[in-house]
Amino acid sequence: MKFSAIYIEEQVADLPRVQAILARTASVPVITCERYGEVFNRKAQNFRLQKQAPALILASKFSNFVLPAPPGYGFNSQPSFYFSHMLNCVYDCRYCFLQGMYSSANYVLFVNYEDFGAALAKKLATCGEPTVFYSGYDCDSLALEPISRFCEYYLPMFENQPDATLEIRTKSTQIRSLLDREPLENVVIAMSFTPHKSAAKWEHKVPVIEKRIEALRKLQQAGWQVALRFEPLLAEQELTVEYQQLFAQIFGVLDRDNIHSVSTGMFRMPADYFKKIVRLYPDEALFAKSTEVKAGQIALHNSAEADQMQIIENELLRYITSDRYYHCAS
Amino acid sequence: MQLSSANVFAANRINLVVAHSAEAKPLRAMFNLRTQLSSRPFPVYQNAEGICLIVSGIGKVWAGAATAYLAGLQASLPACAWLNIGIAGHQHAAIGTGLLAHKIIDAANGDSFYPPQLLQGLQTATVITVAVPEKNYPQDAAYDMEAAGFYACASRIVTTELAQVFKIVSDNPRHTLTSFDIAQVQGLIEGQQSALTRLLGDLDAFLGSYRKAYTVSPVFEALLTSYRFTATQRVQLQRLCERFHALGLDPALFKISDQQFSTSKQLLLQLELGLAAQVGS
Repeated sequence: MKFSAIYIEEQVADLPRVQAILARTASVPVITCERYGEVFNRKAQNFRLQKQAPALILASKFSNFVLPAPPGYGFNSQPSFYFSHMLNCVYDCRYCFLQGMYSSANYVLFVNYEDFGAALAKKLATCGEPTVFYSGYDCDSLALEPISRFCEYYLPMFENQPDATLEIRTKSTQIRSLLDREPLENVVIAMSFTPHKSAAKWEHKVPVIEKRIEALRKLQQAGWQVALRFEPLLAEQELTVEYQQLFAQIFGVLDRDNIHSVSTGMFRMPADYFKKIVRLYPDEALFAKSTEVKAGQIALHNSAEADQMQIIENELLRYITSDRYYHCAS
Repeated sequence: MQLSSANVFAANRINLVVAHSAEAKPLRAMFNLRTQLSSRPFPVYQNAEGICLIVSGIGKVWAGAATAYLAGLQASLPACAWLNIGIAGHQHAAIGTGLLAHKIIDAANGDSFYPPQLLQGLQTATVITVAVPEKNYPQDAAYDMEAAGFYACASRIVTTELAQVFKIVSDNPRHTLTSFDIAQVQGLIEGQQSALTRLLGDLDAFLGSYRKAYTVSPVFEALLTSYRFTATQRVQLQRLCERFHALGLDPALFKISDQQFSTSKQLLLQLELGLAAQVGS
């Protein structure tokens, strides 16, 4: 992984984890700053240009380590939380809401893992009922694994925690750290997919579908729980046919009886994020389509959406049982 | 001499801001820059390839003022890239070293700027802008007198990826300012010709991708002159033109724009309907 520069908050510069990260990265300018916001939150930045050569920012987070997951996010009605040890994603998916959320395309890695760990431990101790924790809401948790060593620190926290489930949402094939250790029953690796045409058009820098399926196969074989996330469904011609082909490809390789869960979700985005993204990509066909507001979120107008969704769900249920399927509302 | 800025700077792509005529001289020769505005308030030079140079005078206030002045002359034109070039002292870098600023600190108030590091392959450094020449070089940094003023202004004019600062080391603890002769500036800048040429080329490439993404449609410009629009309608028109273009529907846009409508409202309605007919309402 090559960065254009590495920014380091002065207060974390001497941490062993920071020194270890620097040792793992190529020689690039190392720049100190007081707080990461000085670099990350500045106005007059262009996310689109920065995506051509993003920098890494090593910072410390002070609060809000573990937050309630948005309503409708996730695979059941259990209490659920998310935590973001990182902001921004190494991939460049055109439909991603992160483009509208942040001013900068640089990656912020919060290196005070111990503070996240303490907050997670507190939450785990006080849950008292089955609880789901999501990682990968504001980033892709595995994509920067060779640098961040996320799994090495966070996975042991979920050992001997039968009431807690950790879902790692990803499009990455960086699974070595998972294969190198014993699988955990309560950790789910959830891989996101869109059909081939959509992936080619809108998922830039993302490993190809075949490699993602292969990563899941290896994980399954090693005993890890894997899940499939078909999000976002983007209204396109031949959509149902493309999903039929994708499902056939995935379920032809994976052990379908050993899949933790499968979900679908439509393209939805807060209106203000969408506005910002349109300004960033005025020439992008995806955002030039007709839109409508649904429950405060921007959605692509598609009069056939309900019918298409039904066909896709029916197709999916040919491969998996309905108790393992859910439709993501947010 | 007062010029019509739209004509003079129409082809402009990269603006160079330098403090001193001694810094301007080798750059004028390097890029074949011809006089566009004589001395007052700031001398301006330009070539046919779209490089423009302004001489600000020494100090951050003048650097900011000259940047703002040139931006004003080019106000009606597409965004340009901006580069401050100049000499600087350094704690330990060798004389003649070229340094791209990765952090700029205004020593007077502690303000910091972080030019995005999209341009690769150059040595980088922190640049500290001081009010009087620094003779002790206390930090691992380059010391100049303009960068902070330039950057504070340039970052209000253009997205920060397109505003950069390049300094060439003229003095250090072993070769102090007391022994420095202004005549040496020419050699220092000429010594960085290949780095400067590459830097300008890379900046121009980023500018190219920026302009390609954000240049407004000529149809939009033409319609603006044919109808009267409110500020809101103007935004609507621009977005409609962008949507036609993004969806590969330029022929449909041309067809509608060639028609005559009594009001801008009717035109906008027709564009909406035309788009809906192609992609669904």
